[in-house]
Amino acid sequence: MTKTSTSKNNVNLPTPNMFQPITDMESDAEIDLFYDQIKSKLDTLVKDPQDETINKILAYSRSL
Amino acid sequence: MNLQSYNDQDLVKVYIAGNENGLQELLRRHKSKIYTSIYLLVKDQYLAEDIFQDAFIKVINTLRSGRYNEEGKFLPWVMRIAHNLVIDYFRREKRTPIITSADGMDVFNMLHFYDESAEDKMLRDQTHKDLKAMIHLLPDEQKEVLLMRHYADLSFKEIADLTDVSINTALGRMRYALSNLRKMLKTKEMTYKG
Repeated sequence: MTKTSTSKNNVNLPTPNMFQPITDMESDAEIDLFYDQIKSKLDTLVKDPQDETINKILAYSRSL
Repeated sequence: MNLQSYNDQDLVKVYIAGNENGLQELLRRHKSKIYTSIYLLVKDQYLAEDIFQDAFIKVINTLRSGRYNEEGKFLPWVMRIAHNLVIDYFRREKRTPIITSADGMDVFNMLHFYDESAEDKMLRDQTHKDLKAMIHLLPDEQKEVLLMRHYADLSFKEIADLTDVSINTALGRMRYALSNLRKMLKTKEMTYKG
C-alpha cells in the first residue's frame, strides 16, 4: 500500500504580505496638504441652479 | 422678520407654519451645495435642474404633510433625496456616468493636450475643465464622497449614513479620491512639461 500526503512547502504557504492591501507611499499629511491646495480650485466648480428653477419651486409651494 | 439668523430647523418650522420665506431662505442657503453635487454627478445642466427641482418638490410635499423627522438635519436629508433621485435616474437609463466632457471630448484628450501658447485665462479655463473631467474620472463611490464632503459640506458620519457604509469606509473613499486626483494632476503636469 502506498501512502500519499501533501507536503508543506513554501509554495503552498501564504507569504507574510500576501493578504495585506497594497499601499502607496502617500501619507495622510501629504493628502491633507494636497486637499488644502486644491480646495480653492474645487470651489471654482460651484454652480447655482437657474433662477427659473428656484421660482418654479417657490411657485409650487405657494400653490399648495 | 430676518430669517438669515435662523438655523435650518427653525426655518423648517417657520415654513411648516405657513411662512413661504422659510423655504426661500433654505433654498438660498443650500442651493449651491445641493445643485453642484447633483450637477457634478449627472454632468448635464438641464438634468441637474430637473433633479434639483424634483428633490425640492419632495421636500415640500414631506414638510407640508407633516412627515418630516425633526431629529434629522435638513441638508443631509435633502442630499439623501437628491442622491436617491440621481441613482433612480441612472437605473432608469441603465447606464453609469460616461467619461466624456459636455462637448463629447474624451477626457483623456483633455488631460493630455495643451495649447502652450494660450493666455492665462485660457489656461485657467482649461484647468477648470480638467479638474471637472478628473472628478468625473474617479470611481463613483469616491466621487460621491468627495462631492458630499466638499460641495455639500456633509460630515463623514452623515456621508456614511447616506451611502450605507461605515465612517472608516467613507473616510477611506475620500482619501482615495484625493490621492487619485493628485496622481491625475501630476500626470497632467508631467504631460504639460513634456
